[in-house]
Amino acid sequence: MAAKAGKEPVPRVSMPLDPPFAWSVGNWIEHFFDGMKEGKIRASKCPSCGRVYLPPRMICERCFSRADDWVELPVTGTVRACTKASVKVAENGDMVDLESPEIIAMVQHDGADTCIAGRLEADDASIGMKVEAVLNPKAENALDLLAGYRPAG
Amino acid sequence: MGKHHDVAVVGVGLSKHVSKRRDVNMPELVWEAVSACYEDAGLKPKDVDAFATGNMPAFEGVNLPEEWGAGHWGAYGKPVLRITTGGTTGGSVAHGGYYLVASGLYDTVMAIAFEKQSDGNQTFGLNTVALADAAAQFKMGVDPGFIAAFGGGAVGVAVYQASSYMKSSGCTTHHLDMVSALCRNNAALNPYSHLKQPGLTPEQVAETTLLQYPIRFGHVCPSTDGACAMLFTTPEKAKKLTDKPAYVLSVSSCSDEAALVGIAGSGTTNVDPCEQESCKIAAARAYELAGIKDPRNEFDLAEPYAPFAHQMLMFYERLLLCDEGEAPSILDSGSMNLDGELPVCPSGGVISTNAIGASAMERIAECAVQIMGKGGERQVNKEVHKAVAHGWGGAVNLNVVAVLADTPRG
Ligand SMILES: [Zn+2]
Repeated sequence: MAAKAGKEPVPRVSMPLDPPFAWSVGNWIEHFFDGMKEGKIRASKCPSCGRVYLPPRMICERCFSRADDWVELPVTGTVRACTKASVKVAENGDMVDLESPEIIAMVQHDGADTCIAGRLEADDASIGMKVEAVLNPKAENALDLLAGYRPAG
Repeated sequence: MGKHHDVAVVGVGLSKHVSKRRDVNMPELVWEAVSACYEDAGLKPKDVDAFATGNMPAFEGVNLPEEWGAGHWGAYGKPVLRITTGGTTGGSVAHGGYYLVASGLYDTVMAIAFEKQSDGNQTFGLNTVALADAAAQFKMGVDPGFIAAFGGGAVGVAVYQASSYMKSSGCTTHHLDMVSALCRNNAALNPYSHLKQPGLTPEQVAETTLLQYPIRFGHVCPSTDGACAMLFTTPEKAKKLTDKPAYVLSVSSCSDEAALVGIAGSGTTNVDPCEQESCKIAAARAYELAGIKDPRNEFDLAEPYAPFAHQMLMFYERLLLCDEGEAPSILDSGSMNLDGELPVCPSGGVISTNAIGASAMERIAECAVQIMGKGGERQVNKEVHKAVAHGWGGAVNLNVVAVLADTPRG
């Protein structure tokens, strides 16, 4: 906006800040990642109430017990919520159109009391749909070990 | 005085304090302090009515950590109040826990403060606080490189204050070295401290790198991952839990003009960074509320917030524990030692352990621990009847003071 004649515009100072960030995942998530390298889905289980956490967590928040027990869950599960994304966030923070829409689903693995979010490779999706996890045990980045989900069977 | 209820401390819990905890995430780290606190008090989450919590915003790169972590603290289904005031955060959180009980609204409250500094970047965190001051200088055409040298992160905040304090008090660099040696030796006796340097001498401190005159590496706090939790309850409930609770007699805080580097471009009239008028006001108010008439003689222990060596002496004075300019000679006398007349920083102080958001609470926690006689190897060599805890933070303009005792106000 042009300044009024004879008046300086209010100076605007730009301060570039680069926030470095390194979330420590903790031993429970480490164990989960290590399992996927062997093709296993590891969940933690609360010894007091029996709730099963996937991704695993150290404390059962419902009863404040240490979820110290471990169970191996199948790759299969059920879609509890899903959406179709038509944009994504680019590296520079801008929204950009996806070439084709992507389905993102909240999947409750069989035997788990929680959901895990992942990309679902399917033409369409609906709540209640049976899906299975696609593991990528050779992935270099731990976050890519769970590649996503596909329709079961 | 006032209609508020008396408040007892029945539990204190601390996590391990080290520079990097990669084996736990933030809520898991906090859980260590929380579960130790439950154990110390003999209570369970079902016994707690509400929670107060806080840490430094922007230091770990995640926000709303109380929402991430509440279930890890036993707060599932309970009221949670977040309080964050910069370096004073832990003090303010403990004050919040105190208020919740003192108001009569809740019987038993857990206060939790923490910082997992290794997940984020302290300089970035401080920058978000200093933005306005720095921006004002950019506007005046000051070179960013100069601002970096002038501010120099947290050390920059301290050096001007230290040199001003030294000029007005007669404190020498040897006194700074003595403070570091005193604190780090105390820290060596504290299992929850970070920098343990048993046998450290002032001469060894004097040999550490000079960062910015007069502050040497040995005069500066470390950057710590750690958490602290405290349980507050009514005196009636406290008596059923323990024979020897501590009592919070009063809390007070006072905000001064923001003065990040004392003479920054933001136009503060605080031209002397060692004046700390708000500390004197907060202390006087806390003492009045607690019925303390002669702070110089009534206290058995002091935990001033001192991430930099000169601050232990400066805040000892600003907490009205002696005349201004008198603290260096009191240090010389040995009175501040663990076995002295008025031991200062028996925990080892912030200069030995600084999980920022937790630090101001850990001052209050140490007073409670010493009153309850649970200090182990660092327990001071006398009965602790009354103790004063302090925090310094905000935009380096906020001072918080708490008075604790072994008997309630009555
Ligand atoms: Zn449970």
